[in-house]
Amino acid sequence: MYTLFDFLTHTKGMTYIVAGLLLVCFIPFWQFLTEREKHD
Amino acid sequence: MSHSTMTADSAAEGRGGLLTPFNLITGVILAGGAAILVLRFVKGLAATTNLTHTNPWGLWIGFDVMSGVALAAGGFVTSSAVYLFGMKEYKPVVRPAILTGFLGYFLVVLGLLADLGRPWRLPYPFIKQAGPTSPLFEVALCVAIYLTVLFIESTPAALEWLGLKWWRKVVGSMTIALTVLGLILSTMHQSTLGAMYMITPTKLHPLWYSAHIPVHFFVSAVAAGLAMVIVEGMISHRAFHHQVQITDEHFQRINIGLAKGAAVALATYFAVKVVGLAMEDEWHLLLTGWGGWYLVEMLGFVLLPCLLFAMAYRERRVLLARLAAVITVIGVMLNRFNVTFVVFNWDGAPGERYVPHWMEVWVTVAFITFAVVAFRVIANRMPIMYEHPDFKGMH
Amino acid sequence: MTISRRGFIGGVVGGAVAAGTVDAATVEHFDGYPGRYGLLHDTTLCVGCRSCEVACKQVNDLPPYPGQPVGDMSVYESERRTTDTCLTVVNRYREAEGTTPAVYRKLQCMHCNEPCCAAVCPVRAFEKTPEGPVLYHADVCMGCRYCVMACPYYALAYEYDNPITPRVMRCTMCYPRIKEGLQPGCAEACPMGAITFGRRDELIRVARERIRKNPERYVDHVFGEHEFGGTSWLVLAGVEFSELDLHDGVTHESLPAIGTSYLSVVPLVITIYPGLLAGFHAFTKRKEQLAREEERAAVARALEKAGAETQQKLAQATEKAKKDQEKAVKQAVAKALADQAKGGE
Repeated sequence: MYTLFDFLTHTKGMTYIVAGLLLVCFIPFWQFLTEREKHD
Repeated sequence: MSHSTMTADSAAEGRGGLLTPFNLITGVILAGGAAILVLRFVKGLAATTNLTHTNPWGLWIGFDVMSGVALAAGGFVTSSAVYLFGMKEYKPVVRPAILTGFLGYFLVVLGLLADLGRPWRLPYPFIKQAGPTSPLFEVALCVAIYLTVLFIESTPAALEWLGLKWWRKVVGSMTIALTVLGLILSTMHQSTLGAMYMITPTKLHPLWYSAHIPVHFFVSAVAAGLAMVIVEGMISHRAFHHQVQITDEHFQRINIGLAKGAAVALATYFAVKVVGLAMEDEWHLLLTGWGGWYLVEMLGFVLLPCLLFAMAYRERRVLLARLAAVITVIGVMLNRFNVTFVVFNWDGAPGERYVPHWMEVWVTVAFITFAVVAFRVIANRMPIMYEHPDFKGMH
Repeated sequence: MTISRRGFIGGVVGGAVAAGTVDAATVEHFDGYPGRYGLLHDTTLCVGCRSCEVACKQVNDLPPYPGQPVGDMSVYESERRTTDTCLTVVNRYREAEGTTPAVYRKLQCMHCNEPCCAAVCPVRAFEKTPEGPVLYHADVCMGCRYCVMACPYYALAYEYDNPITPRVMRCTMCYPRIKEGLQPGCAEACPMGAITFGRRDELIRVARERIRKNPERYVDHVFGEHEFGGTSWLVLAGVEFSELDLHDGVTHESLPAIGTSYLSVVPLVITIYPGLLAGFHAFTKRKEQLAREEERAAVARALEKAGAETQQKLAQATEKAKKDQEKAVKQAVAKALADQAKGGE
């Protein structure tokens, strides 16, 4: 990692993937959380 | 927009055959646009634009991309208001706003396909090599996903028209999730379009350049979206009056309510800009020539419509709200033009100033015409301006 | 790299603080590839012969400059910029006056330490090489021209005349030649020694030495050492750099650091909005539910109240009816008795 550009390319690329996965995971988490409300 | 030809008569499409005045005029505009685009791909951008090495971005970016995205913001604003904040009385304007949003973003992609040096490489950031450091990468990713979201949000009308009850139910159950995703994506790309200018502090006049440009772009997009819903409603309500089911009184109430939102959005935008002046100690710049132009934009196209919207809400005057909405739409376009090519390279740039080529203007008008024609074709067939009797009461 | 991250940070933070530059994105400071090349442009030695322009065109196989050939000084009457066929140009910034010579400067891509073009490209078409030059890869370029728009030195140009294969055109620091151990074309061609090719850190030493030896000749500053993070082209001048169309006195922070810092908000929006908006939606649903329950309770109360009133009215009516009936019975009985008494007489 010699330049800021190298660093940012690496970290921002990683961040996009991680954030995207977390967003997708929110849906099953929300469904898990509110399952009971469907029965009530 | 070429709405002057869109009278109530022409809404009864098909009655006078294909050669209506509306069809003839739009046909000429669209044919001319197509011809210019052919020339663009035969002779290069130099043949149909006034772009230079110093001013690589012109009208197609300034209007089709920058203004187009801001003015299509009505989709996420109204759907969030209705589905996330429970403001059910605005339901009648959600479908037209979503359709306007979808056509607006489609227009953005068309503008890009005309402007890019190699438009067939548009998917490259996702399929060939990503440049994640770039704000434009983020804009491209968000716009691509958001266009998909808008498309899905537009399908209920088509599914009702086709009578596909099960599919309609499936899409309907996704409404909240799509609205949340739409708001996330819109927040990101509306503000990142502004963030694209953060790397050019030497080229953008200090009154427009700010560490908070992303916030400026987002808040003004909210105001632009609300104003566009009023403007679009003003035209489509009249053009499709025979389809509309809500009472005139309800429609008035909606417009007055939108005026309230727009007043607050513009007031917030104004406040953020004033804070920016204080933070960078830029008061003295207001007395310069460019400062005068800045005041024209801020006082004439932000503060003025803000006060007009407020008055319209207080006194329940829909006409005043419509006037304010038109001024706001022009104001947002003016701001985007300023940032893209008027105030950009304001000082010390080599070469001449950029002025749009008439062919650039024609193509832009042709793209808008295409969106208007598409809206009309869709609204004349599908339940956009009214509720389908078989699906009343559903999301 | 075998140095631990903590040790690395500790080392460079100290260096960064000493150098007075701390990165906006992190606390780390990036020094760039060690031993990379640069060029020193001593404008006090430049006489405006444009040999560098000729050499550049030869090396890059580009058409000669349209109009004014080399030697025709009228070319300096207007300020030029690089174009898609002129990757470098020389401009005159001050005319000769008596014995004071004219002032010229050669313009081209500055091959920045932290290039804006690389940072803004959505397809990563630019590459900062370990040798120093910034390279452009036309095979991935979409032609969005964000790089052209962003370059603070107006160094990039675009082939607007090319309909199908337009490229961004810019100085390449003769990368293939450098790899072969040669000098860039312009450095080799300059007859006055106004362009010196070598290691960037060496050239900074050379530049400072020249200033030290001839303080009346030079402005005491090496342009490009730190401006916007520093460039590979270093400039010495006898006049203020602002007169040479170079932005003087700007921050040492790189423009990419400034220009990409906002993007860190993106993952925050992605991770915070779902919970926040789900919360708003739940809040709205709850408000609607409470409103519905309140309405139901109010209706029930109203019905109850109406029920109670009705009961009361019914009881009263029943009472009254009973009393009326008793009264009627009493009256009938009295009447019957009276009739009987009358009849008995």
